[in-house]
Amino acid sequence: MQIKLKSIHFQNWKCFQDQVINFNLDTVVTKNIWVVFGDNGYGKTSLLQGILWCLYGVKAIFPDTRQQPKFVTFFNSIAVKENPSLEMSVILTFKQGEELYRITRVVKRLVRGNNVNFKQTTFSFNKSGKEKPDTKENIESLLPESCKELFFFDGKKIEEYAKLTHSKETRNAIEQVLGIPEIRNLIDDTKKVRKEIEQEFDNISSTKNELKKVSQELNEIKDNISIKEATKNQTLQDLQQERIILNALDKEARQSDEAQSKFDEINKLEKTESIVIKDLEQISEKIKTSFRKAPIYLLSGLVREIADEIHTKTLINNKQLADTSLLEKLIINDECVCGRCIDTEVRQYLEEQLEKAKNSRHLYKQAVDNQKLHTELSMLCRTPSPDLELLLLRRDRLEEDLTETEQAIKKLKQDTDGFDRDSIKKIWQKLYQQENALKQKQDQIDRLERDIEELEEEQSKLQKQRKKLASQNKEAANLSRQSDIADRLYQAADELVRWQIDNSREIIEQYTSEIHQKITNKPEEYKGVRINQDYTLGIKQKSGDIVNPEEINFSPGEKETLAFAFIAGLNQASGKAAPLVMDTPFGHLDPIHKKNIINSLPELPSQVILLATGEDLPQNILDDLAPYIVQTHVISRKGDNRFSSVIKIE
Amino acid sequence: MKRIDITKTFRPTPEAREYAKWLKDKKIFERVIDGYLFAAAFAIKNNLDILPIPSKDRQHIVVNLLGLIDDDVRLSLEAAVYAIHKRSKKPQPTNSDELIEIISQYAEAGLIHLKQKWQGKVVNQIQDDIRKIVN
Amino acid sequence: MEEKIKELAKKHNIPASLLKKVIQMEKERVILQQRRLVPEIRKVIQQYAALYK
Repeated sequence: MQIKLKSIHFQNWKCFQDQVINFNLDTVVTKNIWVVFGDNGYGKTSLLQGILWCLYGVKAIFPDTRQQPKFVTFFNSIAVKENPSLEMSVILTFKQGEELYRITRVVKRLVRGNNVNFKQTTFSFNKSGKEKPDTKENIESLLPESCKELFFFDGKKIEEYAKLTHSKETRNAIEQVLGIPEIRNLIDDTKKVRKEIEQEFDNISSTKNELKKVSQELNEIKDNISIKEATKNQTLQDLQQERIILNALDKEARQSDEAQSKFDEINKLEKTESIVIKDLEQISEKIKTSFRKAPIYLLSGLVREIADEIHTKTLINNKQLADTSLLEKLIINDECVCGRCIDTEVRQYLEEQLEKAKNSRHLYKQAVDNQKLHTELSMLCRTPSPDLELLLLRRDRLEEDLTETEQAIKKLKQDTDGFDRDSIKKIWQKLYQQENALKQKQDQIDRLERDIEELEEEQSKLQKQRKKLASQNKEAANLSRQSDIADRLYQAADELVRWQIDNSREIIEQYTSEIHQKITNKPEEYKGVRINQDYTLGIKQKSGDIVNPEEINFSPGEKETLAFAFIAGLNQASGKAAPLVMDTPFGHLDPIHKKNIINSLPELPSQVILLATGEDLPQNILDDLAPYIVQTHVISRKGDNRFSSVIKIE
Repeated sequence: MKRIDITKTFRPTPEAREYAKWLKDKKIFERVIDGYLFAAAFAIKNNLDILPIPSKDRQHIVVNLLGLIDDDVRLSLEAAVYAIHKRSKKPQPTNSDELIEIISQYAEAGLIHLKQKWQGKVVNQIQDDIRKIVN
Repeated sequence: MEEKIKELAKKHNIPASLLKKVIQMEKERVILQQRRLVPEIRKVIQQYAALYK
C-alpha cells in the first residue's frame, strides 16, 4: 500500500522560520508528481535534510561523525537573534490508506550565561491521533532507515546502486524492503522454541527412564542435525563464493583462451609481415635500380644511333687493317693479286705503304677501342627496360598488405593487452585449482546432506517412539505434539525464506527490466536487467550475454539510469511504494536519459516529489509532465536574506 | 665520342641540388645523383634548351663522386651527348670537363622542367610519371 | 506469498493459519532489537497443539 507524505512543518529549521508545506493528496490516481521549485541555495536540500533529520536524526544527513556540523548550524539564525532560547522542530505527516502517521522531533536551544546547549525535547510517533511508544521502531517499520537512500535520494548518490558489489548494509536494506528479515527471524525463533520444548521434555521424562533415553537421543540427533545444517549452510555460502570466483576465473580463462588464440594469430601475422617486408624490400630495390638506370632506357634511341655509327667506323678500320695484311702477303709472296711477279718499283711502293700502316699504332688502337665501344653500346641498347608498371603495382599492393597486417597485429596486441603467456598459464592453473576447491565443497555438501538425511530418518523413528511412550502421559503427549509442530514450522519457514529470496529477485528483475527498457538510450541493444544473488546488477544483452556495467564501460548516465531502474523496481516489488523524494533530480544527466527517466516517473506506483531548479526541469519536460503534476510549490526568499525562505503553492 | 673522367665531380646550382635532394628525401630516387642524372637524361631526350651555368651560383658541395655512377649510365649519357651534338651539328666537347659541363646544363634544365611538372604531386604520382617517361 | 504459504503449510502438514500468524508476528516486531517472540510463538504452538490432538 502506498505511503505518502502529507505535510511538512518546519520551525526554525535552517532557512525556514515557520513553514508548512501541504501536499494535496485528494487527487486523481493518475497524478503522482509534486514539484518543489527553488533556485540553488534557496532551501531544496534543507527541505530534504529536514525530512531525514526528523526521521533518523543528524547521522542520516552526516553519517561520518567527524563531518557533522555543530548543532547550532541547523537553527534559523534570524530566529535565534530574536530569541536565543528557542525550539527547532520538524513535523512530518504520512498517510497510508486511512492511517495517518505524524512524526515530531523538537530540539531546544538552552542558553545559560555564555553556554549554549541543545536538548531534544520531543521525538514522537503518532498513529491516527494516538501517541505510540517506541518512536524509533515505529519509524523503522514505516520507512526503514537502512533503506532511506531508496526513498530520499539525490542524483549524485544514485550511481552507487549500479556498483559491482554491495555493502552488507545495502544488501540488508534491499532484503528489508523485500520482507526477508522477518522470515529469517522466524527461523531463529522457531529454533529457540524447539530447544525450549526439548528442555521441558527432558524435565518431565527424568522419572521415566525409557522416555528420557529416547528424548536424550532425539535431542542429540536434533543438535547434530542443527550443527550439520549450519555447516551445510555455511558450506553452501562458501560454495556460492567459490562459484563466483570460479565464474570470474572462467571468464578470465576464456578471455585468456581468446588471448592465446590471438597470440597465435599475432605469430602468424608477424610471419606474414616479415615475408611481406622482405618482398617489399626486394621490389623496392628493383624499383630503385630501375630508377637509377632510367637514363639508359631513356637514352637508348640516341645510344643506338651512336652504336650504329661506331659500327660503321669499326668496319672501315677493319678494312684498313685487312688492307695492311694483304700488303704483307703480296710482299712475302712476291706476287701480285693477278699472278704476275711484283717489280721493284711496285715492291718499294708496297713496302713504303706497309711500313706506314704498321707504324700507325693509332689504327690498331682505334680498331680495338671502337670494337669495344661498339660492343658496350650494343649491350646498352639491348638492355631491356623493366616493367615498371608491374613493379610499382606490386609494391603498392605489398605496401597495402603490410599496412593491413600491421594494423591487424596492432589491434590484436591491444586486445591481448594485460596478458602474456605466463599469466595465461597461471590463470588456467588457478581455474583448475578453483574447480577442485569447488568440487571439494560440493562433495562436502553431498556428504552433509546424506548425513542429515540419515539423521532425519533416525529422528523420525525416535519421534514416533517418543510419541508412543509420551502417549502414556498427558503432559508428555502435549509436548510431543508441540515439538512436532515446531519442527514442521521450522522446516516450512526455512523453505519459505529460500523461496522468498529467489522469488523477490525474480520480481525485482522483472520490474527493473521493464523500467530500464523504457529509460535506457539503447533499448535495441539490451534485453533487460539481471539481479544477481548478491543484488548486484547485470545487463542482459540481446545477444544473450550478461555483462556487468563496469565491464562494458557504461557512461555515468547509463549507470544512473540502471540504478534508477533498480530502485524504482525495488520500490514496486516491495509492495510498500514509499514516497520518492528526489533532490535536483538527474541535473547532470545527458538530455536523452534525463527525458526518459523523467517521462517514466508518472508510471511509478509511488508519490514522487521533485526538488528542482528551473534548469533541472525545463519547460519542454514540464509540459510533458503537466498531466501528472498535482501541485507545484515554489521556494522564494523574503528580501535578500538566506535565512528567510518561504514556500508557496504556485 | 668524349668520355667522362670519373675522378671529377658535378657541381650543381643550389636550386638544382635542393630539388634533387628533395627527390632523394622523398625516396623517389635512392641518391641525389640518381635524380640529377635522370633529369639530365630527360632533358637530352626531350632536347630541352640549355644555358651556361653562372659559375658564381655553383655549389661547392659536390653532388656525388662520378666514380659512384654506374658505368652503363655514364656511357649512355656520353653517347647521348655525342648523338645530340651531332644531330644539331654542334661542336663535340673536347674534353671530360666540357662533357661534364654539358651534362650538368642538361640536368639543370631537366630539374627545372620536372620541378614544374611534378608541382603538387605526391610521391606515388611522381613515380608513376617516371614510369611513363621511361616507357 | 500467500499461495506459497498455503503450499508450504500443506507440504509440511501444519495449518496455513499458524504459518501466517507467526509471520505476521515477526513482521510486527522485525524492527525491534528485542523481539521477545519466542514465548509468544510457543504460546501459538501450544494452542495449535491443543487444537490438533
